[in-house]
Amino acid sequence: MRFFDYIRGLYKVSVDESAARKVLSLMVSAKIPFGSVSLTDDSKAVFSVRKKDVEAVKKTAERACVEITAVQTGFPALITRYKKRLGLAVGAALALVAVVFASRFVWDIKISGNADVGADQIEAALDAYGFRLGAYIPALDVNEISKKIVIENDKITWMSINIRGTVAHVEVRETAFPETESVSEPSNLIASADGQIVLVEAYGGKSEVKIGQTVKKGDLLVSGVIDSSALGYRLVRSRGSVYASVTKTFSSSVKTDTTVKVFTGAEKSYKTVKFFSKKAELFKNIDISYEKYDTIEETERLTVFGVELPLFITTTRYVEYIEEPLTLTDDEALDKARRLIAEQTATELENDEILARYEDVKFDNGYCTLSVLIECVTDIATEQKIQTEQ
Amino acid sequence: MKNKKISSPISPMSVEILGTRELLISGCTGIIHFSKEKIGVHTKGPSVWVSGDDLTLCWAGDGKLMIKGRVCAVEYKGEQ
Repeated sequence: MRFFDYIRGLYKVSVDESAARKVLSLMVSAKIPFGSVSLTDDSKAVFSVRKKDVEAVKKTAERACVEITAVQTGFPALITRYKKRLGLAVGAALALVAVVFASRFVWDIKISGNADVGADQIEAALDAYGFRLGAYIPALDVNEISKKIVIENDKITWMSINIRGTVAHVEVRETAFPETESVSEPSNLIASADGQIVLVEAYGGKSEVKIGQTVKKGDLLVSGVIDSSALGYRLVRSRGSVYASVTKTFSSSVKTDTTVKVFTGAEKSYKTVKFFSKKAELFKNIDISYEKYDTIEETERLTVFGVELPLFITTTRYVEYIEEPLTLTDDEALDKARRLIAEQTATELENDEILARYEDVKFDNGYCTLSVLIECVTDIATEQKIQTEQ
Repeated sequence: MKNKKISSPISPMSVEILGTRELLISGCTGIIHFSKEKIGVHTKGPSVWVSGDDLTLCWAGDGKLMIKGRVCAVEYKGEQ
């Protein structure tokens, strides 16, 4: 009610405390509504009346020979005060239009429920159907978009898109069970490397090797051809693991006379503003006069009181460096070579049991060459399909 | 045909008290006395006097007045 009173506008009537009773009594008899009456420190009674009743109040006061003052308050008073300032009215109108207009676009996309499928993958899938920051909300058929994305993605079983205001909440549910393996295609397991068999775990097919046997790359380990006197021969899919002791070699070469990057401290940066999907460069014709430089890009999304805006500021920094000659000592070169080999073996030997490791180091012609021989137990079984005549 | 405004008749006198902070008097015809400590109201029946602290008056409809503040006592004076 207070809001409506403010919009409609009220008149604040002020009368001497001594005469207040007379005026209010006459107003009660005349059924003129009035707001709460309060007494001020300077012996005045103040109450509010509606705009349509103010003339009746003035007449009532005149009949009672009482002096009153009536001052307009609320939104109409504000308009009267600022009616000559056209800019304010135009600005207010433009702000209202901007708010109404802006609320018809997607300002933020929040994705939840995904674990294996990355948020950027889901965003890319949505983007393919025009669902992105800055998309016009009335033109989006969210049900159709979510259905199409679920059909196209095996890893997503369900998707829901709810647009609340200008924020799109995308919820997904991923596939709980992995793809089932096809068991209909017959295959053999063959050796992927030379080695000595340590353990055979065959779930399908017939094992053709024994523990302790030496095999070469390409040798048959588990056969998908089962020959039985009762049923004749049949083709099955071979599955399982065959572990063998193998030797793997890795090598890396490091130049002892090398260069090192030294940053001079000089850098230039410039900013790009992105609003929804529209980019604007704040500085044009950037002149990068450095001979060598690194380019570093950082993007920051602006927030106001914790609310993320569809406004991104990208700062691109060009950092100058020079290359200075550097001669590595033998130990430093060897350390570097070991680090390079560690990077190679990290993924390749991840599931292997390492039995022994041998290193061979050579310093020759300004190079440090490190060769590493690793004896390990690894699964050498590789599936090979059996070609059948259809 | 002109639309004639029909004013509702003054309702019979009644006093409704809500706790110790609000009082609604129906059937008011005028105000006898008004101050922060005492408010006297004419009604069709006896006059109603309300005593208390920080009393304020507010219109509440045809012939109805709302008195707010710390109400200590309500008296009826005159014809019952």
